[in-house]
Amino acid sequence: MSIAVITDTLASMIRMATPLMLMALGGLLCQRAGVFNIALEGFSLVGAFAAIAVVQFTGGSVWAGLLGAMVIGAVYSSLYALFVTKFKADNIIASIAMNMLGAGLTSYLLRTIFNVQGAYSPDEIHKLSMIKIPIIKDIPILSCLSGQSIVTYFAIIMVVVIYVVLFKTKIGLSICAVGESEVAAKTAGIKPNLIKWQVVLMSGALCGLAGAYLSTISVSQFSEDMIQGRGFNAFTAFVFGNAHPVFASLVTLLFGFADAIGIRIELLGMNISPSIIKMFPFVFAIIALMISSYTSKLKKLGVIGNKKKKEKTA
Amino acid sequence: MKNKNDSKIMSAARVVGKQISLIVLALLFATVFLAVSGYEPFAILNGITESLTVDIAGTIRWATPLILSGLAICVTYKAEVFNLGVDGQIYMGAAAATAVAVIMPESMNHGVSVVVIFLTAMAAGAAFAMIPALMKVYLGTDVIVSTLLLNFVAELFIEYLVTGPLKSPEENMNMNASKVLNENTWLPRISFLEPSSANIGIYIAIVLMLFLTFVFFRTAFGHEIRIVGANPVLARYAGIKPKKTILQVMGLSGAIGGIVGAIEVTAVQHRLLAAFNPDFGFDGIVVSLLANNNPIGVLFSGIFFGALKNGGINMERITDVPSAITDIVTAIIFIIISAKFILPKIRNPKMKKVRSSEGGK
Repeated sequence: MSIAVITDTLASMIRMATPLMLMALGGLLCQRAGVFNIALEGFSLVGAFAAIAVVQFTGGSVWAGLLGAMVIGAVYSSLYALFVTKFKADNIIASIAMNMLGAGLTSYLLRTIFNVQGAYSPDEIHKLSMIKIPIIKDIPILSCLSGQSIVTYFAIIMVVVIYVVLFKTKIGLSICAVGESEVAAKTAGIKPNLIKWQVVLMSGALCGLAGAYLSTISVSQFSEDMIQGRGFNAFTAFVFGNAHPVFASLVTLLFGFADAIGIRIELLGMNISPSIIKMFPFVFAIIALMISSYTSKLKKLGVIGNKKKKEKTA
Repeated sequence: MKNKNDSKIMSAARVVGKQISLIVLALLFATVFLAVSGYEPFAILNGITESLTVDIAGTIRWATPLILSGLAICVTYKAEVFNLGVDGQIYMGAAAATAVAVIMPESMNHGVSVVVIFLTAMAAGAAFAMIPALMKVYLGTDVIVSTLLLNFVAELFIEYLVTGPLKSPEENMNMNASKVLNENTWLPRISFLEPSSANIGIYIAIVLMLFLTFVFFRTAFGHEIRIVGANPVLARYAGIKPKKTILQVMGLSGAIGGIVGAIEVTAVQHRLLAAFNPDFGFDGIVVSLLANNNPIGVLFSGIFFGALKNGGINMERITDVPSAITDIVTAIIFIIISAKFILPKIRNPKMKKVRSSEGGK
């Protein structure tokens, strides 16, 4: 394989991993605070729709679309936060309901606002130009890092920010404390519900941005089956990555790689059905899930590792 | 004794009353929602009323898969296994049913071929449900996530089948589907409900409902399921193997999912379509939860959701109200069920325990 092909594959891996990374970051914040959030899928779908709607009404501004998607994503997730905190809703059922509501709402609004079914492209869209990083863009292979969209760089910065916030600040400590034991956290003067609101809204905003990336940067349209299980893949990614921002992001790169390889195989014209290729990320995710549950089982049995504390988030 | 029976009836009535108030609340939301977005506000109510009176046939068509999916869910939820993979099991059942139906010779006896098709579909559904079940039993993998991921694998597998091995040989057909199956493989429709595609699958659903009610409340196996669901540690002391029970309920659930797939293929579509399944599995969760995971209740809540779905589709045809409003109603019912404030008694107190242990993984 030539260097150009490798660079190209890596670049598309990063492109594919960007939305997963954003979703996984949102999800792991919730996980750390003890909120079981598999509504990432629904949040992102709403974000994808919001982005296209905002782009349409601002005459093609993708910037406004990205921002609007984050805000609307957070607003949508506040419903989940309300049910999880105030009404003590079962997290699993509430998040599946949020996914269903997201699908229903976007489909309904697509008909009501744009009067179309299935998919909609805005009349006018000013695509963002990709950012070329000066020196890196000339280094072979590493140049895959250059020429990505602003959202990708934002995601990478967010990995660092969330790492610092989680492990080096008081807020991060509170988040983890709530996840470990709500009662203990309360005794320490932390308000668990406030923390939960914060992490859920944050995940809503991040997922909204992930959805906006898919609808305004990857392509220029919204379609009803846009997210295609990426939210669940992102969930697996942070479970496999131990709810650690850096590890989780590396896992999303792995899933992005599965996607990129699929595209490459398609381009090479090998005789594999595209449906089978689309299965790759899910099969990767299932294998990752098996490995992570197996290792955590071994840890629990005391076969490997002796860090007692980690088990809870592992 | 009489007192005990009375209180039983009273508590059942209270449960039913609560569930009905929940439906009313969700429909109220939807009505306001329709009014705000400038549609005929009572469209959804009219749709449901019509579905339960004039167009009962359409309701039965939709209620059949919903009741069966609800039963598939309630089997596992009784044992506190969060199986979200009924959709995948439906797909696999449909795939197996189609594969068998395609190679079934035209001269084969009608009854025999339908039975063979359904048995294969059940086996396929059960086998597919075994994947997450075995992962759970041997690796401790969270069933929630594994089943969610497997749904996509199954859906893509169907897409592969209808664009590849099972693709219809017809020229210039612009949909992804298999060829139309021979008539001797069709599950009969109910003649007096023609032209709707309501079929004798509804009888299968009712028989299965009665069978499961018997199993749950009158057999040792049903008792085991409930003990495992309530307290796996206690179950082990009582000599029950929770792992075995998990495999059994997942297998049973998968087999029921397979039946749904087979019905959709052999009675409704008469061919395998790429996207034939509008998330019956997820709707089945609401059907089962609204019925408090009780098989008899599943029958009624299945009929309600069937009427809702059918009403939404009719409504879209007559007025311009998008049928997606029915998904919104379903989601609202779903999210209200998740909350404890309305249903403090109905919700199983153990559920929270499962969450904290499973969510930790």
